[in-house]
Amino acid sequence: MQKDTVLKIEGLYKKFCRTLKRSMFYGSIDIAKSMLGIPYNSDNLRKNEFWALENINLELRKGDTLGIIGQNGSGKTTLLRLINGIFPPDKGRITIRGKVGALISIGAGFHPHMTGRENIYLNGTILGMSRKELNKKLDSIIDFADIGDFLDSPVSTYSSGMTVRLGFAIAIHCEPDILIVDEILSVGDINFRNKSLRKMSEYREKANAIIFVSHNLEQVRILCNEVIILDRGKIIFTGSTHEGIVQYQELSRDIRLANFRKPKTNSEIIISRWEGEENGCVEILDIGVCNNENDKINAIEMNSSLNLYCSFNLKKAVKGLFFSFSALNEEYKPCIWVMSNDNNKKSFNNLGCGRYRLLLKINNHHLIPGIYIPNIAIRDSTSGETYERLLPENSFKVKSNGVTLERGIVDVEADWFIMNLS
Amino acid sequence: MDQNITIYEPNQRKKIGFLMLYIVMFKNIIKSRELMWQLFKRDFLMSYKKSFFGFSWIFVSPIIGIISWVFMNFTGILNPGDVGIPYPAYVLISSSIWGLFMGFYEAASSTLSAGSGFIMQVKYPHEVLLIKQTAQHLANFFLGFLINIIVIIAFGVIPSWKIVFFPFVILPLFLLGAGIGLIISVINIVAIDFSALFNILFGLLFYITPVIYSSKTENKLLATVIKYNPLTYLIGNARDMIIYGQFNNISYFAYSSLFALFIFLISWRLFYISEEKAIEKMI
Repeated sequence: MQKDTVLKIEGLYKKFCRTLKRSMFYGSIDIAKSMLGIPYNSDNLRKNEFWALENINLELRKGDTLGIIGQNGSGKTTLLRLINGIFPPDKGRITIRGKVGALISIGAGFHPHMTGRENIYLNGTILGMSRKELNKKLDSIIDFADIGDFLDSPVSTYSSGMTVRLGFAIAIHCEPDILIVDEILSVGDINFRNKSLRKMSEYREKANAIIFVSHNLEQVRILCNEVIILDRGKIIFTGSTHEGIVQYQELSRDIRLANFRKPKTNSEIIISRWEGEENGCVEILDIGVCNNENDKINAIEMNSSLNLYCSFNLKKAVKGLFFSFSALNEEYKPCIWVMSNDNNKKSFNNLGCGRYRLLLKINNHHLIPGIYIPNIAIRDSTSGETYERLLPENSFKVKSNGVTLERGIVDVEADWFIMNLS
Repeated sequence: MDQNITIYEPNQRKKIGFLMLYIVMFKNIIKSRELMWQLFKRDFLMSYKKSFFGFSWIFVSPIIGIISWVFMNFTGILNPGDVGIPYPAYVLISSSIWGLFMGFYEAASSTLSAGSGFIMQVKYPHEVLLIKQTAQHLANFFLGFLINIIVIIAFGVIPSWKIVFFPFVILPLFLLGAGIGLIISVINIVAIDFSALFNILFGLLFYITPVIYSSKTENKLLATVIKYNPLTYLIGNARDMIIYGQFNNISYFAYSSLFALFIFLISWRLFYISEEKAIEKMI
């Protein structure tokens, strides 16, 4: 191990079992084997087993702050538990220089009938602090938790926010060489969060390394200088924070897009709001996005043109129609909404029976990367009747250009300046 | 950069040498004194906090026990044979020592589940849980035992001065009870079948150990069973030392103690090398 390496993970594997009975069965066999001194074969997967972590390689140097991002169930917590030494690896090796401390154990072992002060000693000891250390840090912990007169009341009388604040205050005073933070900066109010972030960045100067797991990509972006992306137990990306976050968002967009495009997965209410009753005049067949060659596509580039189409069947001749097209984001908020008769731009008059295909070209859509659902409304210009349809299963994705993150609603170019006014 | 280097590998604990393993565990316990104390404080001192009578509950169970033994003897349901002293006094001490043994077993068998609140979040030596569980049991036991001693004095039985050796005499009981319990503690995480089975077995064991009757039985089969039951000597001597001031069958007691030590050392080792595999099944 090199001199400035504080954590090294080589070829790490960990497997778990999907079903309870089998897990019990394998557990009994493994325990019996290990008791009898027979080395269990960890290399192969048995029935219903899967790799929760597969071939993980990682190296942290002094001063690194590593972000681990991944979907739920991608193996983040398992990896942390292995680094923390709670689970043994099935294959591979973890080498650690110094003490590992985890901010995943907020309030571990708190007893509700003990006072806050007593719990500081209890929890602090569980986290590996000595009594001397705790005596020294007591004032600082109390100050950080900011629970006032409640300090000498039983923890059961605390609000949930206070309990978490006390737990966090103790944990962050543990000051290990490698700090593991798991999704906890989301606790407390904004003041407490700011205080925690300040303490974290203060700590970053002192600690050898920090491992930060969060779904809050903004925090990852600010705190980490390197990220890995875990996907179903594998590291699919290692590199700079910005690149990692962009790639992770792309990955999660793909998953969300697939979910949207699965028929009937969306709320019935939302669909029925748009489906309405067929009145027999217009039948909307299909809505979607196409490229310049009129082929149906499901992903477009940022800052490019957006071609929306709608095929419909006109069952009787009409005097005039106008159209409204919108693209809704995942929260069903319209991000683009255009109408064909805006400023009397276009009118479609005297259409006979038959099938039509409407095409709308938007030169630069300015949408941020994300998932969008196309929505169309067809209106009779004389009677004002509306035929509307939303098609989540035809959602499309705006791809990131590899630089931009999902923020706001539209993507604009921005220049930043600072002027000295003093 | 002079910090300790920690390595985690598969089958790591198995590779530790036989004696080395005990040294490692012993060191872990010494290092974690403060943790044991804090956990003991939490679980023992807090256990009666939400109760009007508080610690007086510790005395309730021996008192109920005394009443029931006196009643059964009075009505003639129990005919224990000649024990030389008033039967309630005999059975009181005897059964509380049995309770001590069972308590050692129960304390050890919940070693891992006692830490389940944070075992998944924090790395700490789980051996300390055994000590903490046992200490908690002993604290409960001695408070109740004190009452029992007062009661047997009331029956006119003056305990022998040899009672000062009591802590040493119960050591083999701890080794045996904890030895069995530690194994159960690991297996219990994966499946609770074994602990259910052992609870039944211990119920049987109670009847083939001279606890509520004297070891001088006339039934041949029972006499043989009693003879080869190590608990006969481990429990019997602890009791006889208090009420008669005698120490019988020293060689049998020594063999039984060695047996208990052997069971404990083996199972402690097995506990240590298999518990980390068990913990991942705790989710």
